[in-house]
Amino acid sequence: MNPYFLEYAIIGIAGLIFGAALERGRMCFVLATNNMFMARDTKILEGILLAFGISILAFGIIESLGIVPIQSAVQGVFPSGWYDLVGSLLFGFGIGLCGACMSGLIFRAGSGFTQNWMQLFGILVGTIFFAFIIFPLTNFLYWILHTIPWLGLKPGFADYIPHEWFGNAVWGPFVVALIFGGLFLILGLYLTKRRFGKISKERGVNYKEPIITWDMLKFKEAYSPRLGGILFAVVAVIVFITSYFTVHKVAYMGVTTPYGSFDTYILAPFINLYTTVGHYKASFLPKISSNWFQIVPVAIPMTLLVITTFAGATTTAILGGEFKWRVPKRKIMFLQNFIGGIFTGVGARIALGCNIGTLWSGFLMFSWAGMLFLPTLVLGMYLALKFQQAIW
Amino acid sequence: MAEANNMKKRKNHNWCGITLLALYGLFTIYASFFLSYLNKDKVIGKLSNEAIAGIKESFILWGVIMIIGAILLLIREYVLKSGQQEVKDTESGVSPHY
Amino acid sequence: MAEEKSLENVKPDETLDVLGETCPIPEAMAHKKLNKMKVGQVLEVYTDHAAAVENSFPSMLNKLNYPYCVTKTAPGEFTIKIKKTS
Repeated sequence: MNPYFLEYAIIGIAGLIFGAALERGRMCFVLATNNMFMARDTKILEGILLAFGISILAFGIIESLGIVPIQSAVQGVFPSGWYDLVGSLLFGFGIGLCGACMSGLIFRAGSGFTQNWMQLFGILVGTIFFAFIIFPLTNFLYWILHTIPWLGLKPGFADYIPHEWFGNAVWGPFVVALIFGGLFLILGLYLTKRRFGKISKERGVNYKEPIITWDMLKFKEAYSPRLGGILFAVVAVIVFITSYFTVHKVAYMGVTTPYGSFDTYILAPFINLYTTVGHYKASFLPKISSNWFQIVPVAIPMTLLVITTFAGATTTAILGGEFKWRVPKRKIMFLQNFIGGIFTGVGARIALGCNIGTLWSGFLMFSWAGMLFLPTLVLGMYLALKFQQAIW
Repeated sequence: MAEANNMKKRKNHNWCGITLLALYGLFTIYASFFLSYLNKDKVIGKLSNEAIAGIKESFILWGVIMIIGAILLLIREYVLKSGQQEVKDTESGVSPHY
Repeated sequence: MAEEKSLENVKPDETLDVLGETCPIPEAMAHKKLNKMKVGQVLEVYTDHAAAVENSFPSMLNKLNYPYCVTKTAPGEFTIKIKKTS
């Protein structure tokens, strides 16, 4: 059988699970941080921490056991540097304005929030804006490859933390996974325990939330965020292993580049734009950086994953009786979401990925991208929250 | 329950979702036709003919699956009428857990 | 403060309609409105953001220690009644 067919078919299934986990588990980074800042509630955050912890540990084990050899895993690692910090600040502010991160957007739009469709439109416009204006005018690719030395880490093999620390040792990935994954996992489990303890004390009973119940499987009840987190990890592992065993190339989770390819597909009838307009500065810029759309691959497994994620989220929303076409009363929210979407799109492109592609996958790749992305992402979301509290 | 709530008309939007699901399917099939065309003249991400064929097939497969899914949901909605049942259930007032 | 069923039939003094809006708008606007209200008044919030009803509102109101009551009025649509107690 055609290995490409097999890869895409299986990754489609992973997308359906991902959509269900997102929609049912309400896995949204903005929701998690807003609850954290506004009410010190960690319910959603626990799920995300669990997703990170379990998947990082799983990837470490997979790479150390040689199921996916280190040499292959390294091929998917992309460089990290100053642009992670800059991009994630813009990105964080954008998603804060919209109230949905790149993954939260999928389940919100999928369950009928019109303002998140507006955000998606903003992201598409932002990506085009980046590709045709920012990317060629700033010669962006040059700055990624020849970055400011003290802010950038070397691209390729050197940015693979196990290689930096332990050379080519087989147990390297496992040790690094134990450090980062263990940290997330312990923090997540501790927060769960603390929250249960607090509620038990308030109510005077031994309070516990089940991770999984029959009502959750029958779509009568929302999933506990921890179940969502476990499903997240399962999806990442399916994608990683499937892509290695079918086409012998690794694929990490990502949802931003697919939005770029949506642009390409939607504008396909006018495709000459991509090849001609992009060359207007080609005389003194390297040809490669003339237009972002010319360098990204258009057929990537993640594009199909994002479409089936939308499908999974919509299906579970209908099955759970939660689908509703929701139009905000204040029409200005559409403008806010459009502007937020542009911020989101441009920020995600500058950082080479979003909260999934750079933050989560950055940790899964054992590169520094995730670590660089996290602090300014939280700062951006905090600023957006304060901004919204001030104006509304 | 307060009067205001009873005044509000209970609407079933599931048909919107089902249309959306079918649209995803159509978009996937639409996208599959541009794969080889869009992949020409790429600096990175050049694909072989085998790859284009395989990817195209699976895009079409998933598009068809989504449309079938939409049809199944349509049956569930209008033949089995489980969506309407949910609307009735909510009249009792279900409060979510915390 | 946990949910209080007795609030279900109370007539609200103020209403807030945030249908169709996502986090953090419903919580932030409700919080602002509650701050302006007098002690003992009841605020009614209409929202269809399930995540806000499941997570954000309960945690915010538990922190403020206000009693509240959630009613599901339609698939994916909720009414929350909040009593300002302090």
